[in-house]
Amino acid sequence: MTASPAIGWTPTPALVRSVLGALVLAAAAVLARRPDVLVIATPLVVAAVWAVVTRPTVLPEVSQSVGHPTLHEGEATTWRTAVADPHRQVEDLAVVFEPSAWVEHIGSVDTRVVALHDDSDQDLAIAVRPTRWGRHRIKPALVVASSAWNGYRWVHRRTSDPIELLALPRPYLFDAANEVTHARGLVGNSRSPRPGAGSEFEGVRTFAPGDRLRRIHWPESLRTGTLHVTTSWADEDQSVLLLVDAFDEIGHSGGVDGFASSLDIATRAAAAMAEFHTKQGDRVALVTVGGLGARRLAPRSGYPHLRRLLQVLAEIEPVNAPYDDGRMPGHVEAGARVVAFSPLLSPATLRRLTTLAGRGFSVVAIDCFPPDITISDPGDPYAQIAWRIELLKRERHLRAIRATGVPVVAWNGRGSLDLVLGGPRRAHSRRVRFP
Amino acid sequence: MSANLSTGAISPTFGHDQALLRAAIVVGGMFCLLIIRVASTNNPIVAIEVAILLGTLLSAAAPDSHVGLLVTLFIVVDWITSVEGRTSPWAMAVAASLALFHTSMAASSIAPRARTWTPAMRRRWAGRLLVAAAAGVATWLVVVLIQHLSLGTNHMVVTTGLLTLAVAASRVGPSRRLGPNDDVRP
Repeated sequence: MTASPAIGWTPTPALVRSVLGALVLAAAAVLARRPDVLVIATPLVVAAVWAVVTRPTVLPEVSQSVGHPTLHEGEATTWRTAVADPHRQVEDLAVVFEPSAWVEHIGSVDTRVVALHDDSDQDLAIAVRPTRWGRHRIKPALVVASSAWNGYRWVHRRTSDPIELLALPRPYLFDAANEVTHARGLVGNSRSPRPGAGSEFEGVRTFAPGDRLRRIHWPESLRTGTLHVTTSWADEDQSVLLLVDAFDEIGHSGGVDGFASSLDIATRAAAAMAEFHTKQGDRVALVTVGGLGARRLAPRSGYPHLRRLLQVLAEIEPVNAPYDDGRMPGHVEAGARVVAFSPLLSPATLRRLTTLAGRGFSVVAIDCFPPDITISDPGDPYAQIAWRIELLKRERHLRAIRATGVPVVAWNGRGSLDLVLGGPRRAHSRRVRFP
Repeated sequence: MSANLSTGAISPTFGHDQALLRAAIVVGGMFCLLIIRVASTNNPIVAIEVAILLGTLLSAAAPDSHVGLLVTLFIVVDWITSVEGRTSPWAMAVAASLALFHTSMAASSIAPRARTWTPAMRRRWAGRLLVAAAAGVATWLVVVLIQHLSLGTNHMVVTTGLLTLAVAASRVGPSRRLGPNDDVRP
């Protein structure tokens, strides 16, 4: 009772009302000799004495965390607030989640109000979700603690150490009906154009020295009277370079449930391609150009590498005045396929693609220009003219890049690349040869 | 921040619990008025009653303000000027109504107004309201006992009462106000 309130705890109007009211009323009762006024003052006296006797002397410890610091955009996680109050001086607690850019709470519950020592910790959890890929900084929730009778209040608002939430791009659905191989390796899940050790049946031929006995095809051998063996296509991996153009972002992103900007399309499509090829056992490299902190990832395979690919994609940040270092993408292995994701507006990107195509790489450009985009102010004639000029420049770029032999396709989800990737593989159509 | 919590700047709508509390504030103030009217032996001062009425409505609109203190003082002034009986049992009813008024105001400013309370919070605050109201009844019984024993004119009793109040006031101590950076732990 004699300890002074801890720094940060402040008296509330409720305490002022009860203390001053009790003192004034009790004094009036004594001076006016009106004991009935003392009866009226009694509830205020009770509240005042209770609040003052139990006034807090130490500050509670507040810690905040998210259940999953890394997740896909649109997925939900839990924002938890833990308050340690060993002296049991906090009675009621209000936690207010303040939405940040691209992070929202789910439903209408952005606040939790609990009795700290009577309710469970689960009552302080708020479900949140990132609405767009990227690295988001979440402001800590506002925590308001109240002591007995709401006599003292403590507000905890720490803005210096925001919690980071990495939202990976949610990959579009993607599949390829045609095999997209040009690699020369002998491992992987894709069929090589050459016979070799593999799992896919290629044909039956006569036995030759060096053939494995388990390869003997007994029905054919018994029918012909000579040993025959089955042959297979070699298994191979492939190398794919994903080139993401962050020089321009066309359109205002509406998040995972809204309008997709060109960078949204590029990032999610690149994530889909990365996921597809990783599942195929291929080696995938990634180069991001134009954005803040452009990154390069060397070709590797496996799910840990897919995780790294998605993280690099999530960390792309477009800038208003992009800087072009002019560097060509590294890590392009011989025979690798280059898949570029771009709105095809930046001459720097087009120069890179034509250069790669000129070096003999198989280059495919995914057009990420949003199909339904319109200008923000259709009534402005100058804006219309400027927009028209931009579209004409883009048309010129498209013609130029197509003239170099680089196919340009719009992203249409599953099977987007079937049309442009089917041609080369037809030359290696499957054949079953019999003697 | 307190203004945000009480006026609902963060949450624009009223929750069920908050609506009940705001209604309880109005009911508490109106009951005080009504009981004083019933128990009055003199003509009440209309200006004070209007002030109580308006103050009660203002308190319901802004429970985290000092309007409630003014309403409390007006209620007592209205009681003293209207009711002459020193052991009137209506004092218990006014005390209970004032307990409802004060408890509802204190409770309604602990959280944003759109939020729903947990059952534990409802039980605790209801229990405290009962304790405060019961304390008024106990005090009335003591007052009746003192009146019965004719201790009201004893100067020793008055002096002891004043000394008790002075000691109680000194124990409250000065309060600290939060500065803009005071939420950082020492």
